Amino acid sequence: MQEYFPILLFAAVGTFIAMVMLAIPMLVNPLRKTGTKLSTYECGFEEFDSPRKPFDVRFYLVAILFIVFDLEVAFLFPWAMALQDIPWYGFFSMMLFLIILTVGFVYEWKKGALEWE
Amino acid sequence: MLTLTILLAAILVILLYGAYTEDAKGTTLLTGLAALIAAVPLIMQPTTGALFQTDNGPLLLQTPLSNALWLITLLLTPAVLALGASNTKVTAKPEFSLLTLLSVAGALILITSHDFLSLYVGLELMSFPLYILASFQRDNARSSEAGLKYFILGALASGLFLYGVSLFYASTGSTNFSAALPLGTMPAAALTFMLVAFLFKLSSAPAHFWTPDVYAGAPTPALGIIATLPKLAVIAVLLRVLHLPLIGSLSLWQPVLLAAATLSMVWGSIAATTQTELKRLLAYSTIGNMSFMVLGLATGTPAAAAGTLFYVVTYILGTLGLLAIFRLLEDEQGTGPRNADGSEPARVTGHPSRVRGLPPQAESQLSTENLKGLLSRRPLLTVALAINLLSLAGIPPLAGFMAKLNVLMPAVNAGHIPFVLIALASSIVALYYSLNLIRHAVFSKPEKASETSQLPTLNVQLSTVVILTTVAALILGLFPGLLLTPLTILTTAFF
Repeated sequence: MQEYFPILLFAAVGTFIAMVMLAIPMLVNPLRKTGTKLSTYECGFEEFDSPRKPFDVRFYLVAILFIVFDLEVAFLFPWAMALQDIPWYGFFSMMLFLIILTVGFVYEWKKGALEWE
Repeated sequence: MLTLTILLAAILVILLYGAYTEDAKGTTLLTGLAALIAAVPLIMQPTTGALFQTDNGPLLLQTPLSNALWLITLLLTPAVLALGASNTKVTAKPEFSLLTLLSVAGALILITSHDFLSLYVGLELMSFPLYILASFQRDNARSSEAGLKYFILGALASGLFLYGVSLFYASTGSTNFSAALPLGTMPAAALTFMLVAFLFKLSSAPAHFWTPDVYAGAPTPALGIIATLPKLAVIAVLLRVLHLPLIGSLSLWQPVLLAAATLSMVWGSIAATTQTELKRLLAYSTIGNMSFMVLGLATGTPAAAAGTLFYVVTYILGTLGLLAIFRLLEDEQGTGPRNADGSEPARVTGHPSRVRGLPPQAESQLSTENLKGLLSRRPLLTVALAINLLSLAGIPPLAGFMAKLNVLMPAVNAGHIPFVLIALASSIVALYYSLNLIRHAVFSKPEKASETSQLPTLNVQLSTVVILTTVAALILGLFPGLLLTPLTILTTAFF
């Protein structure tokens, strides 16, 4: 545990400096709230819309599906590169993985998760 | 191996069937059938030995004990599915049974796992469907709340577990159960993190806070799986973890588990006494019952392990029976007590912060109100309710008594007498709330004793579950040797 002491020291000093830097303005700075100061800053324009409005849950679904197939590709590349060294066992392991993924794909298709409207 | 292959292949096929037909009933039948077919190789040709050998040891290890626990899990699955498919608008989707079966597959992996990596895969495969099932009633705020709480806290527990495993790896250079954890600061931290995660999954007391909210919010059919089979799987794997890689730290984990058991027996029984909402009460009853299993695990002798596993089985049977009765009461709720204008009576229970913000149409929860006058409406159901409740409370001729006896006797023999005394005192408190429920069912009259003429017919599947668990509570109470003797032989072979 001894060798981790510098890290602890670093964390402690970092936290201290950050807190001091936050505390000084809070104590010294006069607080004058005006409408302009409190409004959202949007590249110098008047803001177009509320930033807190809900957005379509379908984006979230598409994002999840993207992650699934992104991971598939992330597995497929090293598998293709190493196929020479992992003969049939490696080949069929990946086929099994692809079959499971395809079943999931068929399921989401049938469920209409890919339909936008 | 064949069992697991059958189960996983069946899940893939049934998933496609469910997606193409949207046939909830057919899917339930198929999943139940798949579970029973998967159990056939275990009866005909049980295999033992290592699966997926790595350099450090096997990922899965089948032993006679794990085979027996697989068999118990798979044979209880149809009952769990019957509860899930009890044909409400909530669960009339093929995904419901499929997720249940996926969770069972995860439980099977968990029971046989012999490496922290396969343990983690099994744990997640088991837990993930449960998070979805808890929030299955998507238009209900309480169900969504239950799912979200369960998911976030479950993810926290999984994170703690992974951190513990990484420290274990740092201490031993292996994640396999064949590695032995040395003594020291880092191994102690590894042990602590892992134990916290396990206690969370067991809903045992310092990590029990999710249980009441999840139980109260989750749809009752989903509780059929959340409250039952995962506990068996976690107990089974905890038995392995404690006695294979962590046996060298017995002097560390034994006091921790004893303290956890004491906390949960005291808190589980005391907090349950003030509950009027039936599912919240069941949650505290679970916490209280878990304490006995944790006590059995802490004792750590073959007899205690056999008693613990026997306890899990009786606990699962009793909980399934109670949940089936709750489902029957829910079906009846349409004709239950109502306000003068025909609306459901407002029942504000639990902490105000939980209730605030719920939409007014949120479904009212089952409370002791629903039990009133049950004896005059359904005498046989009242008898079944009483038997299941008293079995969970541990009254002599029933299974729960034998379970408590077989957990407490080894604890006495191992010298944990103060803990046994606390356990006995808390079971008396637990008996109070069980008897209180029976009092409501037998002696209280409903506030508006109307509409008793048009009782709905009882759901056949649910009634079957109730009859089975009631008969099992009687049989296992009168002849505990039927299950206890094989379990004792198997655990003795394990140690």
